Amino acid sequence: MLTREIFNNGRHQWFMFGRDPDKPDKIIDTNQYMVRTANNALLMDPGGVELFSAMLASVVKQVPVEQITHLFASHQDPDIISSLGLWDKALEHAKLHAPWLWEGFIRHFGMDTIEYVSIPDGGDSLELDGVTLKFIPAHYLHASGNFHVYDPQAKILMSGDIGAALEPAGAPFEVTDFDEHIPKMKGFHERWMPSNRAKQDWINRVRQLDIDIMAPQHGRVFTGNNIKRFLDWFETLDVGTAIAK
Amino acid sequence: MSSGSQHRTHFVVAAIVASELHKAMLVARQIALTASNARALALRAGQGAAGFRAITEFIDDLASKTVEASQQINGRAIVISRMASESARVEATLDSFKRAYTLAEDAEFLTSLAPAYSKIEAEHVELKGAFEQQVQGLHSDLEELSRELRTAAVLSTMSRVEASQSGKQFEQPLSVIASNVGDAAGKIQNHVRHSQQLFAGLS
Repeated sequence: MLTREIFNNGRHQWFMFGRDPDKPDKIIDTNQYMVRTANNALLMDPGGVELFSAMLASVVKQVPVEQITHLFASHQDPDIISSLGLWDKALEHAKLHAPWLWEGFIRHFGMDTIEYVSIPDGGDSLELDGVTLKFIPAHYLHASGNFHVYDPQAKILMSGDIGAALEPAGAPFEVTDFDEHIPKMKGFHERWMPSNRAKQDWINRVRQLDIDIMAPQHGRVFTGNNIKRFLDWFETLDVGTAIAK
Repeated sequence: MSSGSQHRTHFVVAAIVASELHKAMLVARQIALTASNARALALRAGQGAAGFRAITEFIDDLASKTVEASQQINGRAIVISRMASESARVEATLDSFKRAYTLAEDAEFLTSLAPAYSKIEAEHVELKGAFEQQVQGLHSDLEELSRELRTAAVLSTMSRVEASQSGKQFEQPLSVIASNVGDAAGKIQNHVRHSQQLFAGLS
């Protein structure tokens, strides 16, 4: 699995993990993210059970495992958090921040030692050694209880399935040509995102944030003007297309 | 067979044994009902069926012992199935950690995995011990039930003899009851034997 440091201000860092060459072919490629602060680390959407070994190996290249004190699951999907039962054996005193709506479901992945911290519908925040991380509501995008993570210092929005693209293995980490990237995202957003109203609510919320990097769970990260271009494109996109009009 | 797949087989087998014992328990309940019918019939038959009446108590006793033993063994088999699933999960975790060790050979913080790994290993050893103890217990429970059921054949034969002495009116229905007891005990014995065979292949 490849690791890329996407932010470092000397006090805290963001890492992106993905493009695992040993991933079984038929499972979707995912990006995992980690914020490291002085004494803690938050692992975001740590991934599926199939990726656990590669993720654990990548993580201990950056932090001692006991420094991972927090996990975050944007929603309940298996590619997001089915590795939970294994992290539960690896982490002694960690907390999982996840939508309140999914607690009874996520616990099916196995959770004896990790503590579940429910995120209320309106969102919440987490302080790690002076770094504030905000859990931003993204309900119905695509899960009915769904959050993203925003770091105002790093100006990074971890945007879950929003901005996701389905691409062949080995795709670059960053979007360089937005127009060329659209076909890779279009079908995914039209089908996976169920609600135009939810989409607009999220866009209005996100337009108020100062973002340098928008980091989705599949595909490439967006930087600079491509973030605004994404929001404009997404705003005009009709979603929920499995239902005939 | 790898130890992982062996445990997978264990929890499937234990679940099948639990279902076998559940079936045995249902048959044992039929015996209890038969015993109750036999008692009523023997009473109506009067003095001629006095011997049969005495036997119904043994049938009743056999039925309740079988129900109780089947329930106990069924419960133990469910525990074994659960333990075997847990064991498979812990083994899968150990395998995942081993893969991570290989992948992160040169990782700066690789040694930080050691406490978690040791804890999982200890959990595995403990589970294995408890599992083996339960399996041994199940073996002896099945053996005990099997011994108990051998008396059913004797009871069936004795019932048949007593039925033949109960007079024309009652001989036929009491003979049917005697056969029912024998048949039911045979069915239970088959379930028990099947369970023993399943476990014998694994232990």
